[in-house]
Amino acid sequence: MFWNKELETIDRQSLEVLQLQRLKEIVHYALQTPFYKKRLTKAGITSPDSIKTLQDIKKIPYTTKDDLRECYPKGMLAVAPEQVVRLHTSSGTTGIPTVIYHTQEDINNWTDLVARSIYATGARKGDVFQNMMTYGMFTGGLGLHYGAERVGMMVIPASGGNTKRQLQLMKDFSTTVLHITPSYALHIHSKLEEFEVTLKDFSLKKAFLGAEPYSENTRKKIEELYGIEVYNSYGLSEMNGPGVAFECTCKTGMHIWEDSYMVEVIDPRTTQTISGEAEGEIVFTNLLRKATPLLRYRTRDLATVYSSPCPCGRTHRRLSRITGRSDDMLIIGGVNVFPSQIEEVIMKIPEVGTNYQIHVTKDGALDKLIVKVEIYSKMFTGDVRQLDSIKGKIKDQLRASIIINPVVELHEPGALPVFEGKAQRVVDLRPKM
Amino acid sequence: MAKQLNIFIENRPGRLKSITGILSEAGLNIHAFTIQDRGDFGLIKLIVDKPKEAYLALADRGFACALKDIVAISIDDRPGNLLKLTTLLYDHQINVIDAYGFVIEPSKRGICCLEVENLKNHPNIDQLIQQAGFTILEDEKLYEI
Amino acid sequence: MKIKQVSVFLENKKGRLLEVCSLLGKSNINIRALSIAETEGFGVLRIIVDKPEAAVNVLRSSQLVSNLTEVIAVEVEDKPGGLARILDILEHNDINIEYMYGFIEKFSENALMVFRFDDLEKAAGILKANSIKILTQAELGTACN
Repeated sequence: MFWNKELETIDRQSLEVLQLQRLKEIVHYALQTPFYKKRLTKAGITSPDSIKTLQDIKKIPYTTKDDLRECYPKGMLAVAPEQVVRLHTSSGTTGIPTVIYHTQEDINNWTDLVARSIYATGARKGDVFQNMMTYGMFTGGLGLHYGAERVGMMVIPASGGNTKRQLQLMKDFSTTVLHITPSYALHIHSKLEEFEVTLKDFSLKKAFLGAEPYSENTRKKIEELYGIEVYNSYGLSEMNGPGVAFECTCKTGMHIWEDSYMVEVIDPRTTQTISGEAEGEIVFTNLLRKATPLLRYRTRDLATVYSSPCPCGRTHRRLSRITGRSDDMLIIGGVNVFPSQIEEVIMKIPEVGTNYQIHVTKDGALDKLIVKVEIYSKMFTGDVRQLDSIKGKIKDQLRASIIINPVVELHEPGALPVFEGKAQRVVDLRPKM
Repeated sequence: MAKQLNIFIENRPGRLKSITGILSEAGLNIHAFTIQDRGDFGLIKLIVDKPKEAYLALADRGFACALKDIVAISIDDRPGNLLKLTTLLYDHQINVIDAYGFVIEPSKRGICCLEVENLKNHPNIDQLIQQAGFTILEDEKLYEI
Repeated sequence: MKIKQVSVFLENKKGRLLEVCSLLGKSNINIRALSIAETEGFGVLRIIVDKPEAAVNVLRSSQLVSNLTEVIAVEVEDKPGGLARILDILEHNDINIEYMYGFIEKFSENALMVFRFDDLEKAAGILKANSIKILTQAELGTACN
């Protein structure tokens, strides 16, 4: 039932004692970094002793994605580089990426949290686990991989894409558990007939879904289509990756592993903590990761934290589905994309005007990104080759910046609306999943 | 050299109508037109009687257009003449990016309009073509056909 | 509501712009707003003058290719957000801007922008309905430096 019964069913009082102890220790590590040394000292926190109660966490200023970018690469490294055994980077809103470092102990802790998460869904040694999330810098791949191995499942590191091969693997190795995005799950199901396979060829029992938001209806739909149990997963690379919050067999919200993370809910406009059970922006403090401590990190994800007890017996509070963002970030095909990344590429290309529009739609079950730009009259030489080359250039540069492959459309001058703000340039036509 | 007007248009209904409307309003005459389709956009190429006026009229109405130098050749309308022209171009490594033609006097004369790659690299192209027995139509001669 | 914009086709040779300005100056025609779009071989000069028809005549008699197009001159609050407000209103009413540029001098404490719209009547209607001031040809003509 429990990977770690003692911790998972700990009473709230003892949990708080543990959190305070871990918070103080992580503040110690944070003070080893140039960034937090400056930031915390300014806030009057000069040693772990400045934190006497859990309420004192409020003395710590918030940390944002911008801070991570400004600190790239070493501003938030709290240990000697020789202690680091892994790093994960993610592209920032502009060209500068962010980086999270891990020591061996950090990796072990992260792996343990993921194993705990997997175990909570009822998956066990003897299950065959097909990891269909991208391997590489994306933490969804390696994160679940290590956790699944720790549980003792047979792990197939399939990564994403190549549906034909995925189906072959599922068949050949009798996969029982999938890790996949909701849109890809729907897409694969729509392809079964084309690949001349039926569900009878497979032994699927469970799927862990993450990386993009989806509704309860979509979960039920996928469960019905495949005849499996679907579990919701939440994570972000700043907090390691997957394994921050995961559903148990009750499937009524994701347990946030509060022994490892302190969670707060704030009003994104005022940044004040919201008391009671109301929707707001989720803020996390990573209590265990020593190589890159992150205190009161603003996730920009909007959600609710449920305090009511869960029938499974776990005392860790549950996180609702993410209902939105408090910034303009888009999630396309499971990948985070900031409109400013697209804008940056377009502004650098002289042959197109400064007017552009971003359309996000669906192509069947999969997300489709269309970037519309206007030809700049002044730069138009009258050659089709120039136009083809402009299109190609934009596509290549966008792909390098945002990873996904957009469709690029060239438009006549004046065809697109003129705006001053970035946010209005995005038209998201996808129905809520 | 003669000038052809190249206009960028989106692939949606009404663009041709819009363009011909604007030119008609400006009292300009279209002698030839062709379209290069590229899926979501295309290029309209026009020979008009007053290219600079046409350019202004369209640019004023927000179109992205450009005047391109083309080689306009008058060819006697007989079998074998086009082969003679294309062989000449091949022999001199003159690469044609786009071309279109039309007969203006049946059994007598046809006009061939060529967009040549790196035209600047072939400064004697007019002489070459004339020496082979064809007539080059410069500016007004083309616009007034 | 609509005023006339003069557009001039300029070969990209030295002194062409000076030639235009001096021709107009000699004929006592005042330039109120100006925009230049240059490509490799040529450019288009767009100007708002106090006497548009006279300007075109003067230019054409000097062998310059010139055209008249209807546009709208709008008063914009000369502070941050002034233009944004107008763009917002246009966008909400689905009005496409083909191009726009600014005036050299101000007539009041507001700045002036020239807009070319696909549908001038509709645009003028919407702007007026939102209390955005549009200048008439007369108001431009009688304004002093």
